[in-house]
Amino acid sequence: MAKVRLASDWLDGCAGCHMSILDMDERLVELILAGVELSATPVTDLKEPPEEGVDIGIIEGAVATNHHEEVAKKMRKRCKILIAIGDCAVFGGIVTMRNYFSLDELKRRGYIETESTVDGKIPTSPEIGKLLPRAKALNDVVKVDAYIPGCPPSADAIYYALKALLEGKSPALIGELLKYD
Amino acid sequence: MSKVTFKINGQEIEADADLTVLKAAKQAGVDIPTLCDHPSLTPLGACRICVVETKNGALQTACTLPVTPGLEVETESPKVVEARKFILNLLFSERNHYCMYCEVSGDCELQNLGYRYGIDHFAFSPYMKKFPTDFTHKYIMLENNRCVLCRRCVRACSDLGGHYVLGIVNRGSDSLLSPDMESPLKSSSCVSCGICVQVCPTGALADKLGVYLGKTKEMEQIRTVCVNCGVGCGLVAFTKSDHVIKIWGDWESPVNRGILCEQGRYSPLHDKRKRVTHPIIRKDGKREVVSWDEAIATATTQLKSTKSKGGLVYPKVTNEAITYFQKLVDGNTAILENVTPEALKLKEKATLGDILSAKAILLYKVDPSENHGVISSWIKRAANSGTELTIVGDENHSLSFFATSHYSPEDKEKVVESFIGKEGSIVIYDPGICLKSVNLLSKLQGIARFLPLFKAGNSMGAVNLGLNGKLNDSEVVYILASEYGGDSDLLASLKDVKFLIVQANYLSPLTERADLILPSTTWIETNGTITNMEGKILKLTPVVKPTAEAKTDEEILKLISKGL
Repeated sequence: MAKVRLASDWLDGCAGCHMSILDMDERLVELILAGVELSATPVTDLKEPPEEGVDIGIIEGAVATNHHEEVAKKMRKRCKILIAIGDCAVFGGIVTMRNYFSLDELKRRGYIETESTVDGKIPTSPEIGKLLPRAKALNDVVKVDAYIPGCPPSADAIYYALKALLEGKSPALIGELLKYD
Repeated sequence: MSKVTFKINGQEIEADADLTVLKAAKQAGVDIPTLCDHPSLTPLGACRICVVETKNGALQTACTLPVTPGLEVETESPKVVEARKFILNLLFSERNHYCMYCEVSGDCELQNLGYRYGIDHFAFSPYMKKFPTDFTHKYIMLENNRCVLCRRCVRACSDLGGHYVLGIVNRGSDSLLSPDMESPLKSSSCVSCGICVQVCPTGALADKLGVYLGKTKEMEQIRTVCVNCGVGCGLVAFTKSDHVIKIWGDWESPVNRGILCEQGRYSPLHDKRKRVTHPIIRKDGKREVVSWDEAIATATTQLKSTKSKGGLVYPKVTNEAITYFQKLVDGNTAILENVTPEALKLKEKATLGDILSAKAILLYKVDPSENHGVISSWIKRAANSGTELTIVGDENHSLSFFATSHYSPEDKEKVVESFIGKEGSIVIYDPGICLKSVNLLSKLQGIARFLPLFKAGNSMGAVNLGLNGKLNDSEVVYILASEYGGDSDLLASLKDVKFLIVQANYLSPLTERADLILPSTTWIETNGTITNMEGKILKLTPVVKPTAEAKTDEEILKLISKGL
């Protein structure tokens, strides 16, 4: 069977959705035996999707910095089907809570006023992505082909969507698999 | 009622001519989704989720569309489904509808609609405007960011509660739910009846205490009756692991039809009084925790050996307990509520439903807002729909605003004259009024019906069972106190009692005076029946297990009577 190459990455998220991918357990092996090749993912520790491209790209997390925008756009360019996974990538999710505050308030609260912080300061290193004025859902930045909401989505939901794609069917979640929390 | 024949999804249906398409569809078993509609509220057509397609392709809201002969509607046509998805996307984009940190996720009607129509992403980026929150109220929190502007709460507050506290300010997407035109909930005219929380489809209005304590489907729902006043409202207690998480009014109850007052909805959850947990005996001036066996034996010995025994009942106990109790103290019993026997002879008796249909209402020296919130609601509703309301009482009566005429108690004679000719009126009065007042009110017999406003859940039952006399002097006095803590008059009258048995829920001055304290269950832990002020027999079901060693009044009395 022809290989289906899959890459994934995370943006402003908690890695919970990738935990759910791993939570597919033996079904991961089943997918690999069915021809899925895990290319660049946080699990395989390759930093970005290969230049020659992949079939399926999966992104977890909201778009919150200019780095995230770059990662999202690169993934979009290098994959045929882009899946937003988890509430943050799909809707903006919990990270959009910060949209109700100004960036100054946000940084001060996060780096200086946190109860556990002593002598905190706001980092300014050029390595760190610049916060966008608002955290956004993935489809606010790039075109998204399929959505797997959930916080995190269940392993069942992810398996269902990937299996459907492999079989050439619609990956849209139905029934109990569609969850917002 | 004349019938109308029309078609839903090609199927011919006959329905009463005064129904809406939504109600007729429901009767025919066709499910049309709703959000702003509620079976107990006036249809509004605010959210548009219930749109159906008519023969000529128009989309109409089923909740407001009356059935007409020859009408043909489709409830899930492609056009309808597309419109509903569009409406849902607009609703989701308007405010903060992120479920993962919302209190009602799992119980939310908006969320369920999203699932039903497969909304797996937002078609429009959310508005992301920060709307105000209001956490000032003792029991209720208002989260405008979760509001879908369905106005269920506004309608419930006005049409069911009669309070008119909640309203909408501003326009368009900036519309805001607001108590008393932009007052904080705490300082508004809110009476804490909580019906707004009960009807809210999202997490915009929630109970503070039960917040984040689980989803409804994880809870057990138990129906019982509130005994905090003589109305006897039906309620549904939501419990989890033997804790009451929240209380709702029972929509099915013929007594209160869904609404409650602060006493019924919140007081059982916020009770901070200390419970009597074990039987306690006073020996040589010292209090000592004893076993039930010893406590029962002591009570039996005392009741057996005395020449004169008597019993007092605070009528928040069941009919069954009262019946046992009377046998135990040879019928020498009295009720711990101020009741004038003559006042109960006024005829005919009114029912609670009469308040809403009465021609005129006379409130005679009672203020139902103090302890009978649901009656207060009905009086407000009646007054709002044009019923004359006459008050005899102080100027600062809580319903003064709604009154058509107001008499001070000195002018009470004039009231009777003003009611001559007003057949179909109702008089709501304090059953403890003086004989002079009884004579006065008796002149209205034949014109009005009478509703004595009893203070406790089973006062009527206690009176019916003959607990309306005066207690003869007794050596041993047994008090079925339930939650009553005693007042100075009662304590003074017990001065010469040689042995005092108090069966109570809470520690109080009364238990302090007792020689034997027996821990009894509260009404939410009790099984049995009560009789409400209109004479309906209502069933209590235990909602949680008894606290510590408490037993129901009936159980304790049975144990004691075995030894007699």
